[in-house]
Amino acid sequence: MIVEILGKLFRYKYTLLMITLIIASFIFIHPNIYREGAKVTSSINPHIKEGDIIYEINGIKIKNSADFYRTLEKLKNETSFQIKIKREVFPYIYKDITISYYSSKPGDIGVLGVKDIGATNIDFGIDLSGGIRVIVSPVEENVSADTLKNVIEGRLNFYGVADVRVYTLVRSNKVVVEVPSTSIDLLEILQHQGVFEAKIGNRTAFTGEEIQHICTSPAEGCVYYIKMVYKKGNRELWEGAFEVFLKDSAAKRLAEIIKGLEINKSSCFMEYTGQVVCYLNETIKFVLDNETVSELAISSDLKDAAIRTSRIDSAVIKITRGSREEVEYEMKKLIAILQSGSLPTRIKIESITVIPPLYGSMVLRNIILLWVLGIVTVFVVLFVRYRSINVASLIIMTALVETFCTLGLAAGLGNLGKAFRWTIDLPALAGIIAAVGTGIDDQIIITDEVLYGRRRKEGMETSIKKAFFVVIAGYLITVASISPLFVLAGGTFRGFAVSTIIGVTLGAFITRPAYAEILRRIYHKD
Amino acid sequence: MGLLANPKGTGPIKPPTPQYTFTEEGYESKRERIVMSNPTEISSSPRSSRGSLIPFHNLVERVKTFLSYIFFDRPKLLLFFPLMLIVFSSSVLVYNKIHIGEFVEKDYTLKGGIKITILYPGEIDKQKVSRVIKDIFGVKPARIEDIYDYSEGRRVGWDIIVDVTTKEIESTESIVKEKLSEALGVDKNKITVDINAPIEKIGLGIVGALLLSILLMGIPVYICFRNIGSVAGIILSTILDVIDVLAFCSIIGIKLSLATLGALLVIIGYSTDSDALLSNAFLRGREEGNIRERVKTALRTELTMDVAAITIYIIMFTLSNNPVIKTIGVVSMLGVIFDFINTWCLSSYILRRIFLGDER
Repeated sequence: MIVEILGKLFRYKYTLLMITLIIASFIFIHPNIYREGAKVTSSINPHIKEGDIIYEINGIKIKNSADFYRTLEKLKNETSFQIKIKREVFPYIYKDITISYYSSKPGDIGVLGVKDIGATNIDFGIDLSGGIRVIVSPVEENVSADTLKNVIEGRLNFYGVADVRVYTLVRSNKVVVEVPSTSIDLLEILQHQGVFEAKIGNRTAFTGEEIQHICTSPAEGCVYYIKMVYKKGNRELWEGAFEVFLKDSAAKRLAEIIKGLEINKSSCFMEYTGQVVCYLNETIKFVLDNETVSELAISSDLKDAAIRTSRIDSAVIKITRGSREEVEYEMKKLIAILQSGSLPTRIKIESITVIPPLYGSMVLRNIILLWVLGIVTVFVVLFVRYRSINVASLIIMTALVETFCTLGLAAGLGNLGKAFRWTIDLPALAGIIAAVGTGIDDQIIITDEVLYGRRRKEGMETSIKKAFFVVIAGYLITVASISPLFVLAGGTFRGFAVSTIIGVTLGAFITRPAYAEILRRIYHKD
Repeated sequence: MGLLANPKGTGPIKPPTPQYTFTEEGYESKRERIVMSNPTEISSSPRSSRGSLIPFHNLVERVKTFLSYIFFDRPKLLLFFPLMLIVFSSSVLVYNKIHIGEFVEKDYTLKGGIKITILYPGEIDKQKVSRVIKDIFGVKPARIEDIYDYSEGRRVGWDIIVDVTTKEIESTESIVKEKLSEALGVDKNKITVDINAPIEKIGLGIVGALLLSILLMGIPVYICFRNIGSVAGIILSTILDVIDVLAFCSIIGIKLSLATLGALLVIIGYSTDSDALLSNAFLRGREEGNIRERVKTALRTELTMDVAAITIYIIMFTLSNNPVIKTIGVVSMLGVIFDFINTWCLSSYILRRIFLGDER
């Protein structure tokens, strides 16, 4: 019995796969009915995670992101907070959590960024949501676009600009910065060159220009790690470290300054490893534009090294905090400051595009209108051609499913992390339309082949097989012809290429086979 | 006598014998009439079934018969259309090269320029705008056009395009905002200035990407159809599609932009579908011994696809408030029309030469 049912179901495997995909897409797109509160985008508070919805702080209701910032402004002298959040534990199932948080800094709850809860989880590009797009390049040619990208990303994070999208244009030294807000002074932040100095006492140990390299990955073969070093009950201790390499002149100067420092005996303590660690009597201050942004103690080991070799070519910067997020944030901030300072160039603004939010939403509404009208007219054309409401509806339904699932995949990829974030902008929407257009074509091909096969009294399976030969050939040719778009005009059409390829892949391997299965059923009945 | 009855029909691949083909053709035609006249059958073209009962009294049938005769029996005549088109299109592009220095004039999104958007629904004094722009940049605006929101049924603002590049981004932005706001009495915050750098040469150039795209598509075509004729057909018709579209765009005043490029790439994708369909019709037709029937069915499929696509593109062009979408609509529509001509008049000729040999 079970085998029989499974056998029957297996005959509709693509339809089942398509239904699963629709459900998954719905969950990923996540239409939000309840939209009160501020959604956390970045947090170093160990109790608040990215994606949590803050709806009350110290009894003050939070309705949106603006409310959140207003409330923090009101509570700027408070150190004790009671924060109410909603955490989604399963799609659409929220758990209410009340957090009591004591902050060492007044008015700081450890949440670095929040945003309004959108109608869906789809990440629309600035073409459709409004915002600023700036293309920049380094003035000096020896600075790579990747370095520039890292510096800009770090700098914007440092200034607390949320949801920023920074990417390099392929095979060029240009970097595109997109911010979904028109209210910040992006140009001011980008053009701010940042004069960096590391100071010990009143003496400059090294400047930004004297930094040769900053280790940002263990793969580079230098020191870079984040690890938990202590855990007892709820208390955790995390340590992060990265290595900074200095140029020759700075290596000698730093050694000389450190040689002159004394060990501060009272600072000695036993580390979690059992080793005794002592610090020197001066600290090293990182100063950006005459403002101290960070201050670190100097380990006495460095003095030994300075005496031994008279130069310190590299220094390891260690950070210890109560949570991984805090360590990560602090490291990122320091690296951004160091890189920002080490960038021996000014940024040249190549172009600027400002899309007012009103304009963006108008374009989106218009696209939806075109989409609906397009679907209706195609339905009419198909009905006139096939004189079958079932066939015309089935083709349209498949096209709608393809659109929905491609958007679902876009939203779902965003959940995997920033690297996979796929923004739906105008080119991406054009790509989805192109993919769905190809889908309608393929379904017409399948239908005609089936009808032709019936006239020739051919088996349904043979007809479908023949139709799929064209579908798969068309699919392969489309993918091949679209691929060069990844590099055309520095990758300006990347969004178009990605969405077309994902759309046609979903179509060729899931929705179009499912369409054929259902079509088989319709004609089998006849 | 048609091609299928030609006893000399020898090509690289052995064609069906004349008697067999003739018999099969007749049998097929009779059978089609029987099936078509069955009212329970879902007919793909009910008019053709009615028409087939009174073949010479029906104008549509006459046209169909004539077209069928041309397509299957005098295919060389069809070559006239793509050849005429390509000669005309190439002349237009060469004329452009001589007179404006480039085959196709590029717009500000590719060669750099400035787009000013004023979100002000009322009328603006275009002459005043032109004067202000000339004062700032030394040239008049290339275009002043309104932005229309079809979902609300009203104008929401104006786009002003100026064909100049500037390195003084920040100062230009503030000067334009200030002067236009002063001249038109519009709030500064309602004016946005979009300054584009020339990006046409960033990364892989336009021509390089288009050529790579066309060459790459030859690989899967060869893998699927194992036939150099299909590859030649698809590549040739795609190149002609692109040239024809570019020429007609320049005639109707559409410059080459990022949007046009996007649409051209959609056309390349679309062209592949129709070429795959045609190659498949010849391939299957040869296997089944009914090339005529197969090609006719493929043509019907192609027409359905084209009509559906063209209706969408007409909607995009007429009802969009976004110049990018409008351009994609027009360019894609031209592409579908030219692709139909190039595929069904040129590619099909190459394919039938390969699959059926020379009819002489």
